[in-house]
Amino acid sequence: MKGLVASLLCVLSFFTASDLKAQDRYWVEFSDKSGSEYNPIEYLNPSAIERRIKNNLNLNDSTDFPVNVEYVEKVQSIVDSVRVVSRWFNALSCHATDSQIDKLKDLPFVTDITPFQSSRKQISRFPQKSMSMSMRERSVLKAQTEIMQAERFQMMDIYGQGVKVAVFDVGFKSVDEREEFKHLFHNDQVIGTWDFVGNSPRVYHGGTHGTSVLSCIAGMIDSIPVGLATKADFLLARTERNLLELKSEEDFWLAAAEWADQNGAHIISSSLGYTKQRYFWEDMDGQTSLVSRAANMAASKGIIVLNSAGNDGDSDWEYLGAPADADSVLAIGGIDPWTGFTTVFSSFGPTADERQKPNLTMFGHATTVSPKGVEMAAGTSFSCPLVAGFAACAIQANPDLNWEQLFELLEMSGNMYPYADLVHGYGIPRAERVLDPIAKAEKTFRIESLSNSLLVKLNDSIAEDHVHKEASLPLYVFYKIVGKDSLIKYFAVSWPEGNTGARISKARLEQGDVVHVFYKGYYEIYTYN
Amino acid sequence: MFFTKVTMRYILITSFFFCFAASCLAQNTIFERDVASKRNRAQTGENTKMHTGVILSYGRILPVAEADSGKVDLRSSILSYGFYGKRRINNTFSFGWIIEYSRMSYSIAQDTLENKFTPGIEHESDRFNWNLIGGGGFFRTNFGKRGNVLGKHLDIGGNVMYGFAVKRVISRKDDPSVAMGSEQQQNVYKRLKFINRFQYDAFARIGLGNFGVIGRYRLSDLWKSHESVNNNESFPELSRFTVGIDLRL
Repeated sequence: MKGLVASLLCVLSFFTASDLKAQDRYWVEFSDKSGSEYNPIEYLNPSAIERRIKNNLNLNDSTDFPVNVEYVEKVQSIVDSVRVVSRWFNALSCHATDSQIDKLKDLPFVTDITPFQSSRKQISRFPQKSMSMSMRERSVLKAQTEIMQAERFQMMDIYGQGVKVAVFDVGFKSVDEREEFKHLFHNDQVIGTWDFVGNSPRVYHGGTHGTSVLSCIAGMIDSIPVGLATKADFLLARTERNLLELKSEEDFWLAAAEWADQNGAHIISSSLGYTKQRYFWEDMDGQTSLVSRAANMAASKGIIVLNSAGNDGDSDWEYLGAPADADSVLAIGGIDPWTGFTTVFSSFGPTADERQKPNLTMFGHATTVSPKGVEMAAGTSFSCPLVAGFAACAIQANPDLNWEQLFELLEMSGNMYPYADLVHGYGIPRAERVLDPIAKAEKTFRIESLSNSLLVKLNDSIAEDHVHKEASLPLYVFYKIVGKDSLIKYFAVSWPEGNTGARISKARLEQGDVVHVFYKGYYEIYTYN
Repeated sequence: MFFTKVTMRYILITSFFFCFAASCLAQNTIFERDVASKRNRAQTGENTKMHTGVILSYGRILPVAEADSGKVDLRSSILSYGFYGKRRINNTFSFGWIIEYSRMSYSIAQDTLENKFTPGIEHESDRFNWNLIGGGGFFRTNFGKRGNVLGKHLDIGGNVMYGFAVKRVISRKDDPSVAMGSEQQQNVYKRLKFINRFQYDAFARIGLGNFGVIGRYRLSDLWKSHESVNNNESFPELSRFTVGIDLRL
């Protein structure tokens, strides 16, 4: 019996040892950067300097100064290992024991030390592999660029040329081998790679998620583009470990963002999210998580950051994760390519501080390229890079716009803009809205007040035409009810029937509520009194 | 054309549903979200102030004997299911309660000559089954920083259970009905006065998220001490240790 008790105790201690032993990861912040020498011409890529000038940013911004080398060396001499050193946050992440942390606390230049551990989630699900393309895959492949009006860009020879897109993911396995990416290497479009996990330039290993994600920006299947930016330049960063790794990679995300900035990236496309493993919903305010703060910092350097909204719409969590919660990040939701409205899994907004999210939406089921071939993949992981390709084209088409103007332009490119709800955002980005001034939409409906409801009555001339002509998607009436406090109380999608677009029950309405309705390019608001 | 046959079928079915729904609701809402109700609801999750869930647990009673005369075989087990609640004290500590049904089954090893339950006779099986209902409590210690999840934890607690149905089932090797080609007969004994219906134990559980490994130690005796059977000799006490897996969903 004594042996048994001993065995049980061994098992107990084994399970808890990793925590009790206290060799963990920490984020160590420094007080200053005194003594740091910085020359932007030496540190920054010419493209990064150009981006800063375009955005009226100071080339000698202190956040770009290197961390004091002596501070890093001093910490290095105490802790087990240093993982990432961040210029932007004047900090580093390290592995250390409790006693080592106690020693760090005594250092005069250390201002804050926080434990740093979490899990991440790649925002994809239900991969269905196949060796050759089915009719279903082919039809979605065609639609996933057509819905964004790819031909409008192609007519102007816009394929993202000259735009640098940084893609952060778990690995890009077989990208250097697959035929679908051959043009990227033939034309030297992969201008930089770094594996922040393995600390090497090799990124064509690890997970397959990045392969599928990259294909949604620049892949070519049988000469059919998978995404819109097939001629953009790419910076590929491996910031995550594979599926079995539970540790957080938020600091690698930050390091990759600094690297992307240094190398002149115009866009960061990230299909990763951090939710309940580390955070509570109230933390989704864009200010709490390191990765959200890093994304905001990248945006402040003039980089357009896109992130998947997340796939928690049908889980307990429901809401988007970090860094999609950051206010300067374009969070991309997912719609079902067969129904034209949200997928069951696309995460909802708003953020914890009640900001509108997601910003845009795109197909949450896409035809992608994996190391094994063409596959239908589902998840907002793929809606994000599809929009990243669109953003690259938008930047190429509008080279003189600064970050703020580009961010606004991309939001305005949504087919429902200025209407937005908490799962579709401003809708699917459309090239016409980037290339041409927005034409005044034809009035497509009127709102009538009946005894028990508000009736959205469609114009007779369009009542029979409820299908989107270009992408063959059904057209719906979108509406939302906004309370006196300016917060969305309710939103819905309605399928028109004859002249009846939607019926909104007055039981849902209170005095002063504002009803917003969108149908077929036209948007109207109605105040209920 | 973007519509495939499958897609068309899907749209048709969906449209049929919409038409049906329209006749009932007089509108064609195909998606809606009541944001206000979501905003007002108390936040739920595994690391909130109060969390409840379902328990499913299976453990094997380890074949270690208090005495050689009371060995059990590997068919001895405890299967439990029920509900639990957890009240958070802070991010590290919480306490909780359990209400559960358990089926505890002791199968007496038949390969020993010192078997005191049926001396000198080897049966196909000889089982004592307790159908128990009861509850308990536990104290939880979490390790590591985490969000709204169960995380890594260690539970220490105990259960008190009452056996509302207890029986002994003996399957005989020399069953005459088997020899006659029919199904094996079992002898079932109920109203066993010598059995202790109140059972209580202590347990330690190591959990990683919803999954856990649980070790139980039975503190109560199986047999009433003042009752004697088997030629005025009490049955020997059986193994007190159980190790198993435990899901908290």
